[in-house]
Amino acid sequence: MARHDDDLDDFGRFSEPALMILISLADGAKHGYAMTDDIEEVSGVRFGPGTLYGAITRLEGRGLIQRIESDDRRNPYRLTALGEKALRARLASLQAIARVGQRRLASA
Amino acid sequence: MTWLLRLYPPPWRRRYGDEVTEMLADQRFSLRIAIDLIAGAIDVWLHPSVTLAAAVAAEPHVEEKKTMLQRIARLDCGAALGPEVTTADQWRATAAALAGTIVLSLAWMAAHVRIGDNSYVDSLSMLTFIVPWLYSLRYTYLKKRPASVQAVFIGGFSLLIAAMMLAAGWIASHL
Repeated sequence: MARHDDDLDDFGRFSEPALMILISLADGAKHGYAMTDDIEEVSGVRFGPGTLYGAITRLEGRGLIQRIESDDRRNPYRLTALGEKALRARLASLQAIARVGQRRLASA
Repeated sequence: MTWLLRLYPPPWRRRYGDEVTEMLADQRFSLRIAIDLIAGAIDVWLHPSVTLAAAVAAEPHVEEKKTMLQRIARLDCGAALGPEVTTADQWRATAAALAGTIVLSLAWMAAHVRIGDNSYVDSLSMLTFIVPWLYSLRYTYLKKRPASVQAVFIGGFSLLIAAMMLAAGWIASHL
């Protein structure tokens, strides 16, 4: 299967937090605390600040998310066009894998 | 728990410190979060090129006056962001490491023949390749660093390792 989601592949143990952050930012900009709450609501997992910012720094460094400067100490982040593309590619890849898994389970 | 943020490199703290401080503001001490923060700090120091890219890019490019220790403490960040190491530099580093190892090995063998079995001389044998390797770093990781920083880095680590080896020799001679 051709891969189009290389941007998240080399995040190592931060791949999952990075994916969850991209999903969290897909419906609008959020600061770190709001992301943590949102991710917990969606997935039931609450990332610690070390893990969350380990993923944020990588995503920001790769241009997948962008910090919005604000007067508040809590700067929100938003998805960039590159980040949206990477998220779409990763979700499509996961959907394809899920379909294969469900098909095989159904025929077992 | 915000004191744990002191474990992070200064560029990281300047970029993300306030945000994480806000996140921790109402947080009671939690071992899970403390471990998470410590692991995060280790990650930043180990992978500065991916974790500090945005923070360093956002830094104002002002030539600050830094103490030698501050310069040394920043070596990893600078090196990981890529000193321009050419193929010629790599050859120079390899040649320096090999030539240094041969010269020091010969010197060590001469000392061994002259002095005979001696735990201190034996313990220094490791220096014959470690010191040349440290010296070779001036062509790679230490490239473009001030000569004083190179001298302190190479000399400091060489002396530290020599002291450790001599201590090992002392222990061996007293067993």
